[in-house]
Amino acid sequence: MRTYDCDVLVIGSGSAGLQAGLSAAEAGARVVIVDKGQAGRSGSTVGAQQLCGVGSWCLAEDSVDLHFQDSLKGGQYLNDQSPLRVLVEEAGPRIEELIRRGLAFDQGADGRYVLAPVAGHTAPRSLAKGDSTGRHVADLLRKACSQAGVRFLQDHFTVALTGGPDRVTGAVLLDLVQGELAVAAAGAVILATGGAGQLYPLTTNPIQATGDGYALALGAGATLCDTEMFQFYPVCLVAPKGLRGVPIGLSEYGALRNAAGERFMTRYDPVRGERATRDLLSYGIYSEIREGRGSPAGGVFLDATGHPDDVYRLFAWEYKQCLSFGLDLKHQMAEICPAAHYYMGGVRADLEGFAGIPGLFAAGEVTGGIHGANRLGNNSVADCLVMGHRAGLRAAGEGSGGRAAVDWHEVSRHQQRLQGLLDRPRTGANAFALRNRLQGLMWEHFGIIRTGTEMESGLAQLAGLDVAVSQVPVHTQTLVANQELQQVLELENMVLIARCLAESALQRTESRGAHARGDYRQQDPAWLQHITVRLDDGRLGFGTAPVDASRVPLPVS
Amino acid sequence: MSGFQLTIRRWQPGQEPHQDVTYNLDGDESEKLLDLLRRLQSEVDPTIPYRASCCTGKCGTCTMQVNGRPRLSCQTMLTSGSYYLEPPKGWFPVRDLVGTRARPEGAAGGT
Repeated sequence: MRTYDCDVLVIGSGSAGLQAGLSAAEAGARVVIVDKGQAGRSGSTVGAQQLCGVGSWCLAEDSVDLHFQDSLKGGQYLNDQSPLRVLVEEAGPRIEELIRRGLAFDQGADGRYVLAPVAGHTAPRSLAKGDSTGRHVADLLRKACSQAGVRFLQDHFTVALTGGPDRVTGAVLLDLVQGELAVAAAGAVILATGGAGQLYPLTTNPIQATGDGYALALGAGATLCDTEMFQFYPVCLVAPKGLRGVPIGLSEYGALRNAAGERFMTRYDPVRGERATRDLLSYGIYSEIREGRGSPAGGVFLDATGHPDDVYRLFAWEYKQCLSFGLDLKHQMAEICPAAHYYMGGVRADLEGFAGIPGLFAAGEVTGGIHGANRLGNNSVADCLVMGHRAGLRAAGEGSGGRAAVDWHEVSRHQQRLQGLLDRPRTGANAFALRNRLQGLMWEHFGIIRTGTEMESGLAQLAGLDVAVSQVPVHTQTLVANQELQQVLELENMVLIARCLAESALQRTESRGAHARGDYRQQDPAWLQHITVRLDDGRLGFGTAPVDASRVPLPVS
Repeated sequence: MSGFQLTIRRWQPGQEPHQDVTYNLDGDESEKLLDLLRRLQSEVDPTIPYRASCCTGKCGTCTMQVNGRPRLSCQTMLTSGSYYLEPPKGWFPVRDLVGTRARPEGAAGGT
């Protein structure tokens, strides 16, 4: 069996994984980055439209203090303040490093960087590179990684982390091109696996966002927090069908109307209206749909018509894409609905990404706590760069301390488990159909507005789905490009994280940020704490943990 | 809804020659080719792999030969009634619609 020996193993190759791998390699570590898809192309980073941070490009009145306050307010004070402070202080330097490495963000005729205003940020501090900023970031970091000697293993699905409760020692990988198992032996492992948008039928996330890292972390004994907090991106197309889930940045310039033509957002936020933060916009849009004031395709109307051509040029890619599917945003209203976008919940880690189990680190969307109950726009890539860098440095230090010998009995157990999946009776719904069922269930019972009774019936259905997944057949008998087997493994991960989400959503008897309860409409200051979850002997154990309020006192009412 | 015909160049290592297999699916003209492929997997034949990721035309992962031309399946609106699908030209075949740019060990040659 092929064995890869390294100081630092990074799982995932979005901006968090690439930055972590780069920083570790530049600190002298031997680094392997694995990705279940194509390296640098399979994470959510590719879709990022902008990134933000306070630096020399900002207005004189802007400051890291302001960025901190904005993020805390946006996150409704559930953010852990120490890591958030690190994020806002170091986002600028990380962006400057990207610029030094050659990323030319958009500049105006006067040579100054173009700063985009974004909801929730009191000052414009977001930079862009055309309309594919994220892809430029990923491409640049991937090239820098290669130059720094990072080895990429693409098309390698991480089946499990290896090691016991005392130390993570690497991972068992399924090489989807060769159709065989491989082993990575590492001094340290960094989870940079991104989010779990595939829990929902409508998502802005890539197909790969199946929450693998949350399940790997739970399996290794780490703790997750805030798993009830899932952000929906408010303005995503629901028609034409071919563009379902595509986020529309032009909405910053548009009005939202219900079936009666009313600009309803002023009822939900009289001051900000359509410029409200994502949590409130999603709440307003979804309420209109649920109360029967929606559009024919199950959304509401976005009216971004009639602007000067310059505005459409700012969003040239999405404008052209819509046009090619017959939707002219300049002259036609669009039908939109919120789509699953960002998981605020995730692995609890310290300021250097250490996840509490020796050898295990995490960075980027897979972590939880930093964005609180609602992430502000463009804070995500900043988080990935800052925490990826920190985790990379720390893991390089720890990982060069040596690797444990591969435990071949452990590897063989995983091999037998996969064979067992292939040998299941080939009857019943297939894995892809079950994924669709899970997505429907999550949207119906744990979507944008949640109530106790709906969640309880959802939990019962989830238990049934868990059983179905444990029996789901695998018709594809080769391991080469066996996407069906991969989907089964992903489904196991998704059902596990769905149970975390469901239980913690039921426990949080208040509305805060992305977690809106129809039966508990108000915020409750007593709930300014994290709900935590661990896996103990195969059972999920829930608890609470205080919010890190080391810098600003928490509101008392 | 209208009927669409997908003919897929199916191949796996050790199998010669390849086999063209045709599937008939219902679809809507406002859908994209990737929507049909996803339905093919979930409703008709779960054994057919294809590449895709961002679904919004940005990552390039879902490139394949569509009726002899390189296309992103997520950006291909359903227009014609029938499609012939192959892995990207010049890539090494892995299985069915999945290819790889880098030469896999033991690969015979490009398509």
